[in-house]
Formats: sequence, structure tokens, C-alpha cells
Amino acid sequence: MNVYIATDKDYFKVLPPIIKKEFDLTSETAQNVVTHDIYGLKNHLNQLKDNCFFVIETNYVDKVYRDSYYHYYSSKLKIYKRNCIRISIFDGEIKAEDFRKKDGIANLKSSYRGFIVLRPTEPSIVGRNLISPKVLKNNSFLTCSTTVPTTVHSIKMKVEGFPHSSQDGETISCAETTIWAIMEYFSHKYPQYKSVLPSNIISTLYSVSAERQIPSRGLNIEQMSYTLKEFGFGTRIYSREEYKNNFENILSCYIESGIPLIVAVETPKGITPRIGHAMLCTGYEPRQDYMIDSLCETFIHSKKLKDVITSKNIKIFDNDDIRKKFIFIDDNLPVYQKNSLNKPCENYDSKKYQNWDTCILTHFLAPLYSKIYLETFQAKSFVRSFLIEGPAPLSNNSEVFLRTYLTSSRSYKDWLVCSDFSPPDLKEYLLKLPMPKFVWITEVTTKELIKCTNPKTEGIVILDATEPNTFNYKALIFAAYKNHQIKYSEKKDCFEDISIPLPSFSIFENLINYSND
Amino acid sequence: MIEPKPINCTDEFFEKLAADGKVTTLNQPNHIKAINEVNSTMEETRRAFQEMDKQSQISASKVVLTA
Repeated sequence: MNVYIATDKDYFKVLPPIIKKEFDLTSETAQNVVTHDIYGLKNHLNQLKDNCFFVIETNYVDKVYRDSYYHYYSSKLKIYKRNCIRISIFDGEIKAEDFRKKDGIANLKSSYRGFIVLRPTEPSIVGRNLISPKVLKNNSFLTCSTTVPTTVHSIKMKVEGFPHSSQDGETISCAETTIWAIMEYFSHKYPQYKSVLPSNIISTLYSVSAERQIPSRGLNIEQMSYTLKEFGFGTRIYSREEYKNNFENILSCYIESGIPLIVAVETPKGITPRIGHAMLCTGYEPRQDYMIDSLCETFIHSKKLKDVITSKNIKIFDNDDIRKKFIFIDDNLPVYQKNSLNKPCENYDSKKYQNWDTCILTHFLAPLYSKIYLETFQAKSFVRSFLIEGPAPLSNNSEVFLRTYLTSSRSYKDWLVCSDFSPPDLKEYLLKLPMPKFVWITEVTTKELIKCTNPKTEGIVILDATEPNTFNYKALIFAAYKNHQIKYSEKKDCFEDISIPLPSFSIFENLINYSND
Repeated sequence: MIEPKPINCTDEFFEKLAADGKVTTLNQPNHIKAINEVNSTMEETRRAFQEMDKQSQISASKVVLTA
């Protein structure tokens, strides 16, 4: 194994001879890999900050490519190489001797920002990669991320980001790549999930496939949902055509909950050639005051509720209706693409990708923890109905801003301990309150409070995510807003309303905001 | 034997609030009416959700993602 160091100023000179030798390519092709758009590498490296340093290692055994190699490429007549090249990224100057000195190693660990694997599958040469948003020129966004351990030149490193890979078009198409990435993310984040390889995805679908599976011709959404179910998720499917006005609102709610989603984009009917593409949605750009100011009242599905709201002149604004850009992990483009939900493929070069800019987001798959039984649409509807028709309804002419998300009770309680929530006895009551692994939280606040530098809420409604039956408030764990604290009394076997003021307190965030770095 | 006292006891806090008349039990006719109103809205929601959910599953089998 050979190790080389390059900078962002000379990598296009250093890399081609290494690629030529390792992948048995011509000098011209090896040069094109670093300079031509079609290979993708140039676009990945172009989005990095200036003054990045790269460590290039040859003979790298990549688990994903090696799996594809043994299950597919090795069965071809043409000889494919088994090994890959790994490019490790450092934010700032590094020297070869840093790798063999204690002080140098500490410096390397603090400036390490991820890696890109190059595989010998021309032209789809960019394989598994994990790049920290910290090293991007434009990183003003919040995203789900996980910490992945790795090594560089025999030194153990850790990097935080979202896993990405380009498709090779033969063993993995966009559908398999998104499943791989989502499992890679969850397996590093939670011990109950296992990372998977392309052959695991193929074998999972073997018994339900009517035709051969490789070379891959993609998967339908139902097959993707089935695969994720087999990998331990309680998957849910949402279609824009069915959920209509609620579709983007529900999608946004899952992202606010820190749950990455598989999204399906398609060309509208009548446009040919037809495109069907899968990618991941993992985050969004930060809320801006102008987005909140321009927010309209939320769509209420229930006619009965709509009539009550109109008669009482109540205005409800929903955080998930904010027109913002979302973060997409797309296997055709570099990691962390920023686009709006109504133009999810706007970043595609229209010369190279004809009609892609017309694509619309038609479906999404939510890979939920298997015991989340109360679904978003119902949880949000319950909170709205509870606030409007419940025991302590919002007063006439109220204007409220609701922010709903799923979170683990462990994360929420851990945050609550050091939060500015008061009175202290009520905080202690919430901390000792039995809760399921996941809870739905709705923060009840105002447009003004959410626009503060440190956004605040005036209330919360906590729902049991394991209780899909909302009859007689069964799913309600606790509610507090406008001097009403509604909690269940075991002694009396019914809910009680405690009239004490609740000072506004900070909001909870599921996602990591990289724009603060 | 002395009964150990938990370090996170909040009973006294709620007992004091009850003694101060700040606790209302939600079992009066107007509260029951409110529960019924929420139940009725949620039944309407549940039916709408079931239909959207079923149709989403049906349409999902027809969309192949390859690009």
C-alpha cells in the first residue's frame, strides 16, 4: 500500500498517475477522471473549502466495492481490479511526519473531515464516501449525521456526516444506493440496526423478484419498503397524489424529527423519456425571519375543525409549512445538495441530464423505529383538535405557531435536564414521567418567539408514539400551554388541569446545525 | 424499618397546588363534551388517513426507480 499527500492546488497532477497505475487506465482516461464532469470526482472536490489537504492511499479494501466485486464483477470476462483508492480529506495543512508524532496525530484528528473511495468501475468511479459538512464551502444547513470510525495511514480517525456513494449502475442503482446509505447511517447511529452490502439487498429481495436482479434495473417503491422492513424498520409510504396538501408538511415533520427519508422523484406525466429516481432527504436550511413572516395559515384537513377555527378567528401556523430548501443525498451528484421540495432536481445540469429539472417529488418512504405506531398525520391532527376543541381550548382570536417532531424520550429528557424549562418541580415531574422510547412533541409558540436568536416556546404537547388509538386522549402524556398543565392522575384515573404559569422556554433541536461552525 | 424517600419526589408540589385550589379534575360534563368533540374529529381523521394510506401503498408498487 502506498500513501501520498496532495493539496487542493495539485491533486489534479498527483492523482492521475496513481489512478492510471492502480486501475489500469490510459493516461488520458486517468487525467479525465480528475478533470471531466462525467466521472463526478471533480464536482465532489470542488465543493470543498480552499486549502484542503488530501492523503491518497492505494490498495484500499472497500467493503462495499469488494462485495460487488465478488458477487458480480469477478464473474465477467474482463478483469476488474479488486482494490480501491481512498482519498482522506483534511481541513488545513498536514505533513507526512504528523502521522508519526503524538502532537501531529492530535492535529490530524482535529482537522480530519472524511474520505472518498475511488473504485475501478469507470465511469462511475466515486464510491463510498463520508464528508463532514464542516469542510464544505457552503454549509449553512441542518442535517442528520452520524459518526463513522475509520483509519488514515494507520491512525484511527472519526468523522461526522451522512454516508454517500454514487451508483455503479450494475450492482447498485439509485434505489439500492439509497437503501445502503440509510442502513449505513442507522447502523452507525443505533446498535439495533446492521449495515448492509449490495449483496444483502439483492438476497433480501431474491424470493420476491420475478426476474434476475443483476445487472440492476432499479427497484419499485414497494420493494424498497419491503427491504427496509426486512432490515428492521416499521416503514411507511406516502404518496403526493393521496396526501395532497399534507404531503410536504408530513415530509418536513419527519425531517424535523431527524429521520432521513427516501424520496422518489419522477418526470410529470407526458414527458419522455420517463425518469424515476430515488434519493435521500436528510435536513434543511435554517429558518429565516422572512420565511416565518410570509407563512400562511396551515391547511386543516377536518371540515369540522376548520369551521370551529373560522368561528373563533383562531390562526394556526405550522413550522412544516415554511417554504425552505431541503438537503438531499443524491447518488448522481456530490453529497448535501440543497433544493426545494417542488424542484428537487433543480441542481442537475440540463445539458447532461435532459428533463431532470422537470422532476417532481411523488412519494417518500419513512424508515421508522418499528414501535412507532402513532403516525404523523394522526399525531398532528390530534394536537390541533386538542388545542381547539379540548378541555382548555385556545381563546378566540389566538395566533399560534406549532412545531411538531418525533424524538426519543431519552434525548428529550436529557435535553430537558439542563434546559430553561420551569418551574423546577414541573420539570422534575416530566423527568420522572414514564414515557415510551419515542414521543411526539408539539411546541406551541408564536411567530415572534420562534424568530428570536434563541427561539422559545410557550407550551408543549407530548404524545405517546406507541399509542395509535387517540380515543379519550389515550395518546396524551402531558400538555402545557397558556397557564394550563394537563396531566393524567393515576389516583383519580382521569386527566387534571393545573393552573400555574409556564414561562417560555427554549425549543429542542433534533438536527445538527453546521452553519454555526 | 425506614421507608427510603425517592430523590425525585414531586408529590408535595402537586398536593400544595391542590390545596391552593389550582387543580381541576377534567371529569365534568363540559370536559366530557370536549373529549367527545376531539373523539369525533379524530374519527373523521382516521377514516381519511386510512384511505390515503391504502392508496399510497397501491401507487408505490407502480413506480420503478432506476435513474
